[in-house]
Amino acid sequence: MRLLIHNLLMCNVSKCDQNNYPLIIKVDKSIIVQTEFKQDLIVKLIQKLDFQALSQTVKSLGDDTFPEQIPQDFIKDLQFLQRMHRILYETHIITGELTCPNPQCQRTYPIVNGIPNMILTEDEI
Amino acid sequence: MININLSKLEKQNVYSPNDDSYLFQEVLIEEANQHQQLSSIVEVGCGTGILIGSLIHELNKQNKSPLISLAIDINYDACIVSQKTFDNNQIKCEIINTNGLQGLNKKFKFDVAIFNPPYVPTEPDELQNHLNYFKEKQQLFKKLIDEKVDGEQFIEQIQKVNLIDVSYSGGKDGMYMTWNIIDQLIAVMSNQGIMYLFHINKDIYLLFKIILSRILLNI
Repeated sequence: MRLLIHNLLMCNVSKCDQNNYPLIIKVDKSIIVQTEFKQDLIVKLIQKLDFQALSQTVKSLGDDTFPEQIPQDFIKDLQFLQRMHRILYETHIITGELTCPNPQCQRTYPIVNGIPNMILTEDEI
Repeated sequence: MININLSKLEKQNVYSPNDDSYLFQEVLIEEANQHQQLSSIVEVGCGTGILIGSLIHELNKQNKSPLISLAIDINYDACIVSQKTFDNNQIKCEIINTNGLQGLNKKFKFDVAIFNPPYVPTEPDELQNHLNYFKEKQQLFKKLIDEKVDGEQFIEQIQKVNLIDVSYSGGKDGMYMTWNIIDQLIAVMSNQGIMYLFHINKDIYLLFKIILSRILLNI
C-alpha cells in the first residue's frame, strides 16, 4: 500500500462520522521500490491530495521535518518534489494496520502483502 | 497487450478473462485515445487486473499516465493476482480489498470508472450460499491475521475459501449486486467523469433511463 492511496482511505463504519480520517498507520514491514521520477506528474498529484492529512501521516511515521503545508514555490523545488516522489510512489507498506482515529471507534483494518482490507461486517454497515 | 498469467489454483479462484473481458479491453484501449491527462481512474471488481491494467498500459504508451489508479476487488485472491499483473507489466496501480467503495473517502472524485459487473441471474438460495462464502472468507482472513500469518503462507491459506461465484452471480434479474455499486460510483465521479459499464440486457434503453435518473438524483 502506497501512502498515495492511504490519503484516500477513511473509516466507513456506520455512525463513525467524525474524526475518521486520515487513518493511523502502524507499519510492521515496509519497502522502498525505486521508480522513475516524473516531475510534472508529481506536481499535479500533490495538488490532488489532502496535504494536511499527508503531512500528519508522514510526521506520525517519524519524519518530523515534513512541512505542514505545500511550500510556496514547490513547482520548482526539486528536492521537495523528489521527497514527495519517494513518499508517495516509492514507499510501500507491506504488512501493518490502519486504525480509525475516532476514540469511539478505533476500528482496525489489516494490511497484508501490501493490500489493505477495508471490508466491513454486516453489523458495521 | 499486457500479459496475464494465472496458476491452476488462481484460475479456480479468480475470474479469468473471457469474451466480455476482451471486448471491454478493446473498447478501453480504443478509448485511451480520447482521454486527456487523467487525474484518477478506478475499477470495481478488477479480477485479474486486465481491464484497468490495459487502460493504464495504453495511457502510459501515449504519455498520459493517470495520477492515481485504483483497482478494487472484494476477493483477496483477485487482489493478489492483479498485483502480479501490474508488477509483470510495469503498471502503476493501487489495490484495495474491499466491498464496492467501502473505506474510500468520497470527497475524492474519479475521472474514469470501470465496472464489469456480475450479471448472471442467480436463484435466491444460490445467492445466499455465495454471501455465506463471503462471510466465511472474511472470518478466515481475520483468523489468519490473529495467528500472524503473512506473505506467501497467507496467500495459500486464504485461497481455501473460494469466492469466484461473486464474480458472476448477479442475484435476481442478474442486477442485485450491481445497482448498489453503480450508485456508489456515480457519487464519486468528477464533473466530466466517464463510467464504463458492461451489460448484457435486451432492454438496454431501460438501463440507460434508470442510470440517467440515478445520476440526476445525485446532482
